[in-house]
Amino acid sequence: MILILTTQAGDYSHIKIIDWLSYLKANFLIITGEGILNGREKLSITNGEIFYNDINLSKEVTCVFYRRWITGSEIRIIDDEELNTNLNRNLVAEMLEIRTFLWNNLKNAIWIPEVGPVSVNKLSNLDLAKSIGFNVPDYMVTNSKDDLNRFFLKNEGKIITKAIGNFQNAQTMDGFLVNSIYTKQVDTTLIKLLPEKFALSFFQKLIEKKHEYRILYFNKKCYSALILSQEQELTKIDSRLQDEDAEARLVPVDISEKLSHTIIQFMEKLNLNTGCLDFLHGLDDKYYFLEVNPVGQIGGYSERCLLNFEKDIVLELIRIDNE
Amino acid sequence: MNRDNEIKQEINQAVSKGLIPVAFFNSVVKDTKCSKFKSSNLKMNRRYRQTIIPRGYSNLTVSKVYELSQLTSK
Repeated sequence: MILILTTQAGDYSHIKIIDWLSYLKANFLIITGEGILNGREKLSITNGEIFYNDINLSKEVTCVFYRRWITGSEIRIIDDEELNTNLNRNLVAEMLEIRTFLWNNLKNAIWIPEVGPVSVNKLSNLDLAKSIGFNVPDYMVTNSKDDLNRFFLKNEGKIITKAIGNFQNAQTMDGFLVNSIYTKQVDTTLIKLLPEKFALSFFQKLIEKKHEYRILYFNKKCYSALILSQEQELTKIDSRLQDEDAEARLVPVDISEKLSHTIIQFMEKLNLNTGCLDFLHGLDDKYYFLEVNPVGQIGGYSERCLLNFEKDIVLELIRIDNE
Repeated sequence: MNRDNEIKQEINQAVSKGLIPVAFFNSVVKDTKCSKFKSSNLKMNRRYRQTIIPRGYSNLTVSKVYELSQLTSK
């Protein structure tokens, strides 16, 4: 049996996977963190075996496709926002314990991505990427204005800032969504605003680019989308930005064998059989590694570039399940 | 000042006081109650829009939504 682990909200890339599983008449089961948290689906763990609606997962599951597990910000228990947030934190922590147990218990199953490296560390990955031969824009993590000024001057006033890891959306009590994920260019006006010591932040050299790549990776194969980010002002620094009139165009593209080979090497070092990698193609004709996300968004890129990424994953899941 | 600008300024102030990372500066703030937000937050096939996936407090499950989307696609 193929097991799909996902969340009720906060992800939409798994839907097409489910479509393909259904179309190809696979033997599959979907479990979400939310579904078992509130008892809508029956789950029992006893004597080291996991039963889901009376199916013995410990015996039946041959492979697992893992997306995300639970979206705490979406859980509504009580009206008091603050108490709701604090209760959510506990519920999410409990559910993450269950996820870890699934990892530990279903060890004989093939996991996509593999158990463990789902929570990759961006900083460690930048260093690893550099060590295996990728170009990586210089970066600095600091909370000191002096250090920031030095880094700014060293890079001729062209630097960006973004999260060290991932920022989650935040919502105000009156329904406004605060999205801080986008990369921003740092200029002298912003630096002047900062106190001598500030909250620990990530800065990186701004690479003047021709365009960007989002590379979907699965089982030593790259499915690449070229992001024409420089066609319009809005998407030049962060290609994910969009408004009613503008968004970056995407086209499918074949990357060089050399880049593909280095990506395979990198993913094998990380023990990742799938993931989404972001690259820049600089004006200097070099490719720069930005980051890898094992459970990054795949749906939009795959669909808009006709990459059929999800179908290949599903065919592999079915192959494993039939072995 | 609009409420979204007010929130943006509050966040920028927190950055300038050194309370939150610099990457929070000029965060995008959107009114989720506004219909324009609801119609433009994802530009994908209607079938794959996140709005058809149930929220955490819904009685539906992803499996049920999948069944629904099968029905609506026919």
